[in-house]
Amino acid sequence: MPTAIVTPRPKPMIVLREEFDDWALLFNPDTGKAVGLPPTAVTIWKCLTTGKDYAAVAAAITAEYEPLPEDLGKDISSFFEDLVRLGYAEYPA
Amino acid sequence: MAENRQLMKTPKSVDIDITSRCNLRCKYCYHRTSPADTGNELPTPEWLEFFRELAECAVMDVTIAGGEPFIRDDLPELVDSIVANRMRFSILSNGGLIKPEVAKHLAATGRCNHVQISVDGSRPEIHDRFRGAGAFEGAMRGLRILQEAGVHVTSRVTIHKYNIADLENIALLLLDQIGMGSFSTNSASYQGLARTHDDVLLSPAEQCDAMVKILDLAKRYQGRITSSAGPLSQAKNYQEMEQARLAGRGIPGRGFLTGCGCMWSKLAVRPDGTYVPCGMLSHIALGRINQDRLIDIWQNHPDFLRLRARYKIPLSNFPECADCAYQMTCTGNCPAGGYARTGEVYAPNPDDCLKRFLADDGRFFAVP
Repeated sequence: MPTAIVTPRPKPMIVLREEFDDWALLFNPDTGKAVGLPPTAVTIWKCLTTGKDYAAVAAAITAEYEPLPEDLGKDISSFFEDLVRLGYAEYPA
Repeated sequence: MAENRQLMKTPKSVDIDITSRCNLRCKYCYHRTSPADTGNELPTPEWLEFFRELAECAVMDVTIAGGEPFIRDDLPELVDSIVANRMRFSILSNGGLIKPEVAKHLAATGRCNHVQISVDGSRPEIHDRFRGAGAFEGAMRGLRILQEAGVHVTSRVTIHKYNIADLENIALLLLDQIGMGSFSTNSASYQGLARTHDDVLLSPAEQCDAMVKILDLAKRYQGRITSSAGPLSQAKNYQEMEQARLAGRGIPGRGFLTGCGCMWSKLAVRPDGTYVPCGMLSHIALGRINQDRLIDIWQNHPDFLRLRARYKIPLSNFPECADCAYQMTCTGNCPAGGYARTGEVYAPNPDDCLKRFLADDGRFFAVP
């Protein structure tokens, strides 16, 4: 049975700066660092800030974008890990 | 062909002249006697309301200047609001009014990019020449207090005829003795009080002397001396322009009034709460904070849109540039400097003109 994907929570001080081309910056004012997000990642981030879990995130991506990658779950999970590793989100205790 | 520029949805940073009051009266202060020298300044609650709007616009950085920001007793409260609204901040200061408890407060926020202290000499008689008696002692005391509190400090050195020979000692003081990571340099421009003090401006011969010294120091200190204007920038820029001319090519993005990119990522606010495109273009009033929405001013104000479209104006439009061999390597330079000299924003800045510099016996210098 596959392991359930744990959904991280955005850290409260993180700022999403959206631009006209649907890309955005995630800015951490505590470190001064920022990363660029493509539109799909922006959709995921917004899902996380409204408390949605992995299944809802995957549903939002499926509804909004095509074509989808072969292993959407792996991509989303990998993005979750990046967010946590870079300090923009944290897994629930 | 003009480049295609993309506007950000909201400004990334905002420069705020939070007060016009100052404990000094430096002879080259660009603020004093400019339209930003408003006399009246907004009370604390107005700024706190504005910072909340900045947060809604996802602004990342606020630069607090003046006047002298540390003259305001509410500075810690203003900084706390910037932090609470998920932004970082920098402060530009002369250092003289910094108190240990305020410095500790800034450090404790963890959000201070830096406090920049103006230092124009390694000794009081040089630093104080254009800044007034006691200014050097104040700057050094401020630097020490900030360092002891753990605030990241940097300096701006304004190069003038009386400190060219002292630049080496200034670098020694700031980088070796005080242990600053880096400092930036510029020179006085024809703005504010400098318009009535001609002796603060560098002559072409003095510019050349300054270029030689500062290029040598920049090489020796390997990236720890920077600039975005003044002799160091000019020496590098002029050399690049000459190399391009000799190779018979232009420089991409040049040949138009592309001299300032600031207004694509930030705007400024005067002490009275008036939005302006830049602290040095403070005569262009765009609206008022807490009355006009920042996003509307940023995206739609006709004067701001027109100003941003400067980059589409070819230098070939201007008689003084029409036959210039450097036309396609030139940006027309800072619009604020040009406005101060000519009263026209939509024209090149004659003070940074390479053709004019060479005609006045200016020279090129090898850039390491």
